[in-house]
Parts: sequence; C-alpha cells; structure tokens
Amino acid sequence: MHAIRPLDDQLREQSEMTTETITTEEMNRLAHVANGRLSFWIGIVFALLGLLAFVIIFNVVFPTLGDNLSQWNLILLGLLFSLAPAGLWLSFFYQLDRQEPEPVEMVFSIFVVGMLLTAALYQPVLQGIFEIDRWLYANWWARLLGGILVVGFFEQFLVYATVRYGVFKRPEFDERMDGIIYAIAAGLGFATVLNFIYVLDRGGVDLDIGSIRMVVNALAHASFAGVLGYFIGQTRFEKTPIYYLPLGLTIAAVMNGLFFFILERSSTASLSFNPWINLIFATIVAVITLLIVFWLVARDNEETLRLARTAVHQNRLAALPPIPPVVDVKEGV
Amino acid sequence: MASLFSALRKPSVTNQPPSVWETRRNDLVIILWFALMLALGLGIRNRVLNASHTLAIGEGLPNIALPVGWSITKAEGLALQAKNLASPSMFDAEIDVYTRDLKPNEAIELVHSAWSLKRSEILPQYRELSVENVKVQNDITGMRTTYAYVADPTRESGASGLPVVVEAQDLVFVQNNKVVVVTTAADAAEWTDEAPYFQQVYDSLKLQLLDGDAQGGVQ
Repeated sequence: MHAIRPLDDQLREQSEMTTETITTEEMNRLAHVANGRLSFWIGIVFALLGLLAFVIIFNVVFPTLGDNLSQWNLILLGLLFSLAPAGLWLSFFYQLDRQEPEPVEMVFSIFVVGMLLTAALYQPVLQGIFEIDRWLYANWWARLLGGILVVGFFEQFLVYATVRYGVFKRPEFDERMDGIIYAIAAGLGFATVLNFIYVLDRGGVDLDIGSIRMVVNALAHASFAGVLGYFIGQTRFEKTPIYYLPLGLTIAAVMNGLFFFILERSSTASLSFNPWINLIFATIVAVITLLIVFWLVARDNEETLRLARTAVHQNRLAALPPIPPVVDVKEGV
Repeated sequence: MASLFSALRKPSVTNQPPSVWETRRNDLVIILWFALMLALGLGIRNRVLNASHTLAIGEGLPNIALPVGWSITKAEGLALQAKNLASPSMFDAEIDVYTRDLKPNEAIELVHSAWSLKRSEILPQYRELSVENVKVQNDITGMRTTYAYVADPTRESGASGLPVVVEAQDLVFVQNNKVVVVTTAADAAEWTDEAPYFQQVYDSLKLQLLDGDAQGGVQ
C-alpha cells in the first residue's frame, strides 16, 4: 500500500523540525527581539559627525586655545575632552531614542561600570602582572601577538564582563540590538578611562592633537565593542554553538590588537607623525565595522521574523480539520 | 565564507532562547577561552623577556648573552655596551664589557683592587656594598663587587632632573691573559626589575658564587 501523505502533513512535520508552535506572546517577544532600533543607528551617525566637528573645532577653528593655559587647566580641559566622545553619543542616543525608549539610566550605568572596572583592573593587570611596558614594544611580533593575546583579549573581556554581569540577565536586555548598545556604552567607558590615563600621565595634553587621539580611541573601542556586542546579543536570544561567544571575543580582540599595531607601525614607519591619518583610519574602521554589524543584525532580524511567521502559519494549519488520506485505488483499500 | 556568515548571522535554526544550562556553558567556555589566551600571552611575554642574542667580546673570550631589544652602542674604551632604552628611569639600565691585556705578575685580587680604586675615584658618592668570590665558565676564578653611586643623567642633556642612585655590579675575571670586567648597572629603584636581564648575562658566563649561592644570582 502506498498512501500518499497530504502536503499539509508533510509541511507540518517539516516545520516541527525547525520551529515550534508559537503563541501570541511568543510572537510579540520575537518581534521585540528583532527590533531594528533605527534610532540607535541614526544616533551613531550623528555622534560620528559630532566627533569630527569636535576635532575640527579644536584643530582648525581654535588651534591655539590651549597655548596660554596653565598645566592644571590643561589637565582639567583634557579630562573634559576625555568625556566628550561618550557624552556626544549618550546625548544623541537619549534625544533620538525617545520614540523607542531604552532606559538611558541603564545605558549610563553600564558606561560608568565599564569605567570603574577599567579604572580598577586595567593598570594593575596589564602594567602590574603582565608588565607590558617591559616587553610589548621590544619587537614587531611581540607588539602584534602581545597586543592581541594580552591587551586585546583583556580589554575586550572587560567590555564583555561589564555587559554580561551588568545587564545581560535584566529585563531591560530584551532586544538583540541591546547587546550592541550596552557593549558600546561599556566600550566608551573603557575608552574614557584610557583617555583619563593619557591626560594624567602627561600632565595635560595639547588640545589639538589630544582631541584627535581621544576621538580615535573612542571610535576604535566603540567599533570593537559593537562587534562583541553583536555576539553577546545573539547569545542572549539564540541557541548558539559552543564556539560562538569565544569567536566573538576573539574577533574583537584581534581587531583591537591589529588596529593599534597598524597605527603604531604607520607612525614609526614615517618620520613625521600625522594624527589626521590615524583619525581617517579610525573613522574608516568604525564605519565599515558598524555597517557590517548593522547588516548582520538586519539579516538576523529578518530570519527571526521569517521563522516566527512560518510557525504562525503552522499554527493555522494545525487548527484546520484533518483531511482524509488519499487511497491507492489499485490496491482496493 | 557564505556558511561562516550564515552561522554568524543565525546560529540556531529555531527562535528558542538558550536554556539555563546553555547560558552557564557559555559563561564557562568564554572564561576558559579568555584564560587560555592570557596564558598564551604570558608565554609570549616570558619568551620576549628571556630572549637574548650572543655577542663575542674578544678572541679567546667567552661570548656574552644580551637581552633582545637593548640598544648596543659603541662607547670609548669599552668592548661592548648595551642599554635598555625602555628603562622607566632617567638612568637607562646598562651592561658594559671592558677588556685589556693582563700585565705581568698581575693576580685577580690585584686586578680587582685596582678596578675598585679606579671606580671610587671616578664615580660620585661611590660606596662598595659587597664583594664575592665567583667562578666563571666553570673553572675561572673571578670576583664580583656590588656598589652604588650617584649619577646625574639629565644634566648631560641640559635638563634639570634629580640625580639618580645607581646600583651596579662589576664582575672581574681573567681569561687567556685578558682582564675582563662585566658591569651591570641600573637605577637602584629599578634594580629588581632589571635583574632578570642581568641574570641572562651571568648565565651565559656560567657564573657560580663560591660563597654559598650556587646559582650565581643577581643580588
């Protein structure tokens, strides 16, 4: 006997392998998870433009602003400059996010936690335990491998730990995009502390070159954190293979190590140091990285919604009355 | 590449969130992965810090190991000079090698005394801290003096930094009718940090202390 199974049965069976029956609540949850948060991306674009304007103001419009300032004023102004990149991003995010509100207090808290964690651990671990100043710059391969395995992994793990133990399990973390938002907040907190250290170590900075360096730091760390945040978001809402999160951390750490390796090599290769080249390079890296992340998130959200729609369709099919089986007439059954 | 992007984009074929067990697994795996990478980084660090290259200091004399990354310079009256330009102090840690022909009837004790006297005349605030009998290259008798003095490294460049207390060791031995003096010196505050580099020099000379410390360690 060769009973021909109805197409609906085949579809149902197939869909059970990939999806499960879905409730309205679940559909709402998935629609929320797959929220694209356009306001976030617009905020990023505005923040980027704001940072470039910030650099231009202190390099082109007022290039001699800091010339007559005392050392204490230079330190104070340097510390304020350090806060500028994060401040710009947070303010744009706050302004644009009113229609799709993410608790700004929580974003700000993660930024502060990122700062505190970095302030507490960065120098004791990298300078105290690993003593990077003694060996990292000894030769090119030490700079590259050490920059990835020690500095890159440590810095990115700080960002990961801030998000994982700060907000990952909280109800505010309810969209895939939240991984990126909170990781960038943590990354900017990290970059801010690095800029603080830079200013304090030098007893103030030149406002022109200093402003470029701070923006380069912020752009770079926001990019790496964006990549890591994408993986964190996926891990929060998807069943991921065992290598998935380590892969995300590795990609971010490699980017971190490679970025600063290339910057330093290009600075030492040319006789004259040109900070604008660093700024252009950081901007290109940030734009390309965030575009890729944006594309990945958009495709992923599409896939989530497609699977959800398939499940809804299956729900409707399951609600239909069963169709009698088609009988093979030749066998007379 | 397409499958990699596909796996990055949508790692799961369902929309199910991870179970509690899977979240714990992810936590554990990333911590282990992070620890493994740091351990590899520590290996790189140790390799760089222990890396050395050997240089000849003269015919019939042993080769000497110098830390990679130290700047080798030509200094007047010295067979070899290497400086650690990455020293945090204004006084760069340095390794100097001085050689000369042995005079007739000159014993190691006499060589050592003459050298110490010369040091005390040249170096400001010279103070001898200890003298040890040592063996070099397993069977050559030598003496090692630990001393301190005050250096003013910023003055030469016209700056007005504070003087630095320098801790140093002179290893004196005679081989193939040549007097060899190997000097290791660093800012006294940085001495402990620079000691592993100096140890590389002593290890290459197979230095052994005769007064108890068989390792010939840097004090």
